[in-house]
Amino acid sequence: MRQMGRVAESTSALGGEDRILLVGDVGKAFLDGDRADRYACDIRASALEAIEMATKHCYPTVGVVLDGLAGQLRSVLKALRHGTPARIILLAQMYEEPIARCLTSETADEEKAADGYWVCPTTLASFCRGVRAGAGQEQAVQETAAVDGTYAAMEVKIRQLERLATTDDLTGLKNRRYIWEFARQVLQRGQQSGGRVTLLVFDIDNFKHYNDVYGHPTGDEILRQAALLMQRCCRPHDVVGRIGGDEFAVVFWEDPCCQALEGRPERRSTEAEHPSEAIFIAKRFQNEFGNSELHLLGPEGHGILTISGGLASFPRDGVTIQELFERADGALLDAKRSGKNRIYLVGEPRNNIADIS
Amino acid sequence: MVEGDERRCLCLVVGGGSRDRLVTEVRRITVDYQVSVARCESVYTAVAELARTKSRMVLVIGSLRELATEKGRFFALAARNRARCCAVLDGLQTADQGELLAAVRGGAAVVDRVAEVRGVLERWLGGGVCHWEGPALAEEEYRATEAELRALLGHEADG
Repeated sequence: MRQMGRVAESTSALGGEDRILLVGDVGKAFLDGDRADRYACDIRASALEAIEMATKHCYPTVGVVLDGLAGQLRSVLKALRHGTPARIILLAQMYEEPIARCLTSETADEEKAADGYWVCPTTLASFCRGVRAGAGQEQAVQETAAVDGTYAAMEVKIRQLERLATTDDLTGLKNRRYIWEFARQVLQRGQQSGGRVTLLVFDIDNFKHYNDVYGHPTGDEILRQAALLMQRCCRPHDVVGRIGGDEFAVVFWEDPCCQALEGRPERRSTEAEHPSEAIFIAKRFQNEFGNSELHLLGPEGHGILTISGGLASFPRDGVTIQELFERADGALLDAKRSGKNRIYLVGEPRNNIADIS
Repeated sequence: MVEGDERRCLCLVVGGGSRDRLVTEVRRITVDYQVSVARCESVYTAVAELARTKSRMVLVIGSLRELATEKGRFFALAARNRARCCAVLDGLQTADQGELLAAVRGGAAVVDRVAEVRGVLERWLGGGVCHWEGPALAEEEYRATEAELRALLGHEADG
């Protein structure tokens, strides 16, 4: 990610009807972070000082840079909610998008922690234009690029390139590059804060047969169907990706922010066990995929699709993404050799998740 | 969150659940005085509460570790808002030197045990009357305290 120099704290004309307060390391969020004065923004690198400022002055919008807040994020957002009626907009790096999505979702138990999010790096020009007009990121970026200078045009290009570099064209899922980077970062976080991360690798049984017999459009349809179903089965912060031909990976992870905000009871297994949530989701997907209909094959297309997979957990099965992937892929191969249509847990030979009650 | 807003003195207890020892103990102690007690989930909520509390005298009580968040910046911020801090070492076997110094520099009272909060509270109230002694220690007093602290910790003074 691009890094800009830290922006000097702006203190002119605090608060006010149209000013925006930005919290955190603004250089990590904005390409033109040094133009804060031009866009009527006040900046506080310290979350403590930002909360004091937001409470004392009347800001309609507070932008919070997620990068760097880590363990304090939930407390900071709660304090901002407590102290100010301002709209809270999160500024998330690409890999932080699942966290931001989770924090901006309302749950039955609690109000949402923030009101919206933007993916960074972005430009102050489009961010300020967007939040003041109440527009979403895409629209604001396009509009700003049409009327503003180089930075905004650059942002449009960045957005397009990022999408191309991290998305699988056929399914719309994240690609291998993204999954690797995302998993690396959550594993790093897990090592620091003790969170659990689980990797599921699976592929579609007899995929080559469908491709050869029914043609590639059918194969593509199967891949899209698997992608859609898996996304529906996962929690909002889990990340699903297509990492090869018919091979998919899912990163299940514990997000302390989301868990605490949702007031969910923590169903935490011991480190010696695979997390029960991941097993539950994998099992549900396996069932739903097995019962799905492949419309292109007509009546024959009901209940014929199956998958095989392997599931590995941090820290019990490995501490790096390479180690976890090798272990999960090994379990996937075991599942294939044992007759397909099963997901094996690493470290527990012949332990098909379908047999776990 | 704040009980009895008509009271002029406010104790903010930072961290812990509503049944935590520190919270219950402070509530028990303050029963004898005309002091409201509010529990803040974190030091960040305490800042918001401080910024909203304009005309009241505030004593912030919390564990040293919690109050020293962001390299002790909270202590200076509390002083700026005319609030007094009381950092409790309770249970901390090895207090971080930087955290201790930040507390002392910010004019916080540092106590070993929760029970000692009563003494701080009484000094703060000035014998039953709300009396503000000033947000920070006098300069020479501060120097002596820091020097003493460094000596206790076995470290030489900077420069």
